[in-house]
Amino acid sequence: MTQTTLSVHQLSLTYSGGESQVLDRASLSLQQGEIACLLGASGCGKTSLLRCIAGFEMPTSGTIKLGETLAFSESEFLAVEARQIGMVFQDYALFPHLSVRGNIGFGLKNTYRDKSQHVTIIHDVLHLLGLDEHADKYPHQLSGGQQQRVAIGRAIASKPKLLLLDEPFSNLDLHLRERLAHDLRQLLKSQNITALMVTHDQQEAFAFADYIGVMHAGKIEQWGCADAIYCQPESNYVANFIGDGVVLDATQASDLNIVANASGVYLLRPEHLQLDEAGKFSATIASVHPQGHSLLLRCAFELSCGQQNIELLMRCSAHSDLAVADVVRFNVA
Amino acid sequence: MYLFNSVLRSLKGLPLWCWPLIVLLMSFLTPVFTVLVSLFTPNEKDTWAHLANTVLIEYVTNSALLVLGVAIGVLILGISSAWLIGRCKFVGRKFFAWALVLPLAMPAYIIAYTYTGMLDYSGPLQSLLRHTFDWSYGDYYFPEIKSLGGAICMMSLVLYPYVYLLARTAFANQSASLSEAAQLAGLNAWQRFFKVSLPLARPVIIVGLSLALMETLADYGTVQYFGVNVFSTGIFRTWFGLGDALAASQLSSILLVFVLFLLGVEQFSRRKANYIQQGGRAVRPVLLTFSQQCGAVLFCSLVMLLGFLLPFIQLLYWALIEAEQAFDADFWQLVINSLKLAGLTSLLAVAIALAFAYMKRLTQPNRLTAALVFLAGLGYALPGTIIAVGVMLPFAQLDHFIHHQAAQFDIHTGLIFSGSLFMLVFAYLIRFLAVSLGNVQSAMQEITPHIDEAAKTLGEKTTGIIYRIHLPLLKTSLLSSALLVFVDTLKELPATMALRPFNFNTLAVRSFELANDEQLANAAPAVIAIVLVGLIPVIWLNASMNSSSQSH
Repeated sequence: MTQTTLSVHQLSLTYSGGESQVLDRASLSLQQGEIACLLGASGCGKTSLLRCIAGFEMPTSGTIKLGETLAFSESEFLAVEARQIGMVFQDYALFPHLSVRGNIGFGLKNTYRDKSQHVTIIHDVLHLLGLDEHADKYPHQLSGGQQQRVAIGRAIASKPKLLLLDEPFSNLDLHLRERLAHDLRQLLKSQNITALMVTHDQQEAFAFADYIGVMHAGKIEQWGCADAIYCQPESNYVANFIGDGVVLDATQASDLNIVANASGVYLLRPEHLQLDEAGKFSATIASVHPQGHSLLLRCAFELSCGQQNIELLMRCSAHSDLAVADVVRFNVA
Repeated sequence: MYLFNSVLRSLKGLPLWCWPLIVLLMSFLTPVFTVLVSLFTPNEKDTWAHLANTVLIEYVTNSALLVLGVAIGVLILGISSAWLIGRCKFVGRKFFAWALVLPLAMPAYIIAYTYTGMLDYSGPLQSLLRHTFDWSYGDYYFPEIKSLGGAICMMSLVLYPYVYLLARTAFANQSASLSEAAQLAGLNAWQRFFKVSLPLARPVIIVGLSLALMETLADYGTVQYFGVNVFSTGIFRTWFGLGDALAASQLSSILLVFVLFLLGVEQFSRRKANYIQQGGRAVRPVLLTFSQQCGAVLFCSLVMLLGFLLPFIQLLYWALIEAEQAFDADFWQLVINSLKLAGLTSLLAVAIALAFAYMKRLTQPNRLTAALVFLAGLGYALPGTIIAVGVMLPFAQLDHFIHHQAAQFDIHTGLIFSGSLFMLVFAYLIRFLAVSLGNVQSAMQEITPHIDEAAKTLGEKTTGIIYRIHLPLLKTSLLSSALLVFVDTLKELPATMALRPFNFNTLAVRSFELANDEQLANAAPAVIAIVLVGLIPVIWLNASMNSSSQSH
């Protein structure tokens, strides 16, 4: 039987007397062992939501429950140090005066009375993260990736109920991120750790999470599994934010024989359109964007009722010799 | 009205434990407050009119000339040595890099004694000249060291390191691409210096210059010894000679204007220096040609010789060979007094700085506490004379008030505060708190809030965070700031002279008294002790500036 580890209900946060609304009735919940990600552009409130859950920010209204414990409501506020939450910071925030061992063992004093247990736990965590040989080094002697692993090790050593991660990959090389996100996912799954990460990078989010929450202007626009977010966006914002695509209105859509998805959005992704010389529709290429493995074409499509042209996105093989102003024919899948 | 309201709002938000600290912070502004009040206090004696008719103009012109002369001297010595060390490669550069900092350990009044001893009529140089050329008194011209020009030379020689240290780092860290871009634009080496390097380093150089000039205005020992009438000597004379503390305080207000101007320039330039990004690949020093190297070594040796080595050797000679009673019981008593005073002050300065820095960190973003902490950290600009006057007047009044009140109950209290060590330490704290506050604050800023938050998520409470994280991380800077305050206290002359309890002597005061009695050789042991202790933080300062310029 699964149990709810985190449940956030209608959480709002306003600064300086209601002038700026940082969070606007955000709700989400996580079951034991689930991994989720808050995705959004900078300033959308995702980090503030994470900090509210951790207890660094005092929300204005709503509730936060950690397991059966009420961590925040209008009348309750559980102190950070009592929430049993692990957190990985963007800059890792390792204690510079402590060795890797000291960093990982820092919180054990408060969780386990028995000192002999500390040694075993530290040993296990070091081993789990492949840090055995670096145990006695200091943070400044480690590479970025190693520092990140120490930060993760420190956060999970005391077996927190929930692990929070604030843009944990943003300080690492671009080409490493996706792989590291995947590795971290494996690690957390193997330990059955519940985790919530904040990021602005879609690739990272898809590689890491079971559930994704897309945030915009303090609201969670959509909360769902990765697949649903991509295929069934519930709002224009989500459709535009995730992946390439064009959102059409009902009349535009009818010209292309497109049916709306479950939430009434007419979303056209490049993979919905197939180039076909005998295709039903035609459009003029406005610009060509090489993407390595393929070309992305921005095409102008003329509507039947003489409205302004709309822009469509299509993809074709990188070897094709299509050029601007060519007319292409296509079908809609 | 708006200001008042926002101050009120800031005050309301403060936790209870902040209040004693706020009161303490306010008390550090006492001297400025006293001086300002004295301006509006009618003086029954006509000292002020007397001053205005006789010496005031002289004080103003002499002070202005002194500041101007020292500014020129400090800039020439500081910038050229900084350029040589920061941007040129020559034999002995590493040695001179720190040797050029040594003069900072010499208080100006100390090299003033030694040069007087070396250069006056009966000194070794003039004796040698007379002996060699068979001259006698009046046969030849020899510049008089005890003059305004002499004072300018003395102070330039020991104050240039302020500019040197800051400009050296600035020059060495300038981005290589800037200089390359200028080279591509066809500028030659001199043009690059004047059009690129110097303008970029200017804000930092001005910061160093303002600090040096604040020291110039604060100086009492040199000008008094040389008989140059400037503000600091004038304030003393009015206070102790004419016995009019109120007029002395009023006189201080004019000096305060000078000081505040310098302070404004310094703070403004500091802010500007922060905008100039020193990024990218640092320039490589240029290897000098043989003749250039000879010139560089000669220049650096001369500066170090005149600013430190020569006076130091002279002092050693006096202390070890000529002094009649060098290291006797009296001397050790002076050492103990000085150590006690400096130790107490540095301990308090660090403790108070720590408390203030914590208050600022914990009450963020409360602007009022931040502003008060900032103000309390500006005391370094106040000359010891102003602080002395500004502390003495209110405490004397307080004493009279208490004495008067107690007398009604037939209790004889005497003077509780004035003439006590308490008042002296308080004056030191006002002047030197900036040193510890600056150090502790910048060390605390390096501990990002995330570090505290990480500890909290790991279940640690505030006291645990202080004990397990902050103290270990702050340890070095707490120690070093204690050391810096210790040495500054040891060297401070005017405040000690004015405020010390009756019959209480320190190394600095005793050496000054002996030097004024023309007993230079007997002053030497005390002076040597001051210089030796002063060397410790100078070497440390140089090392820490080196390591910080490498890490960038």
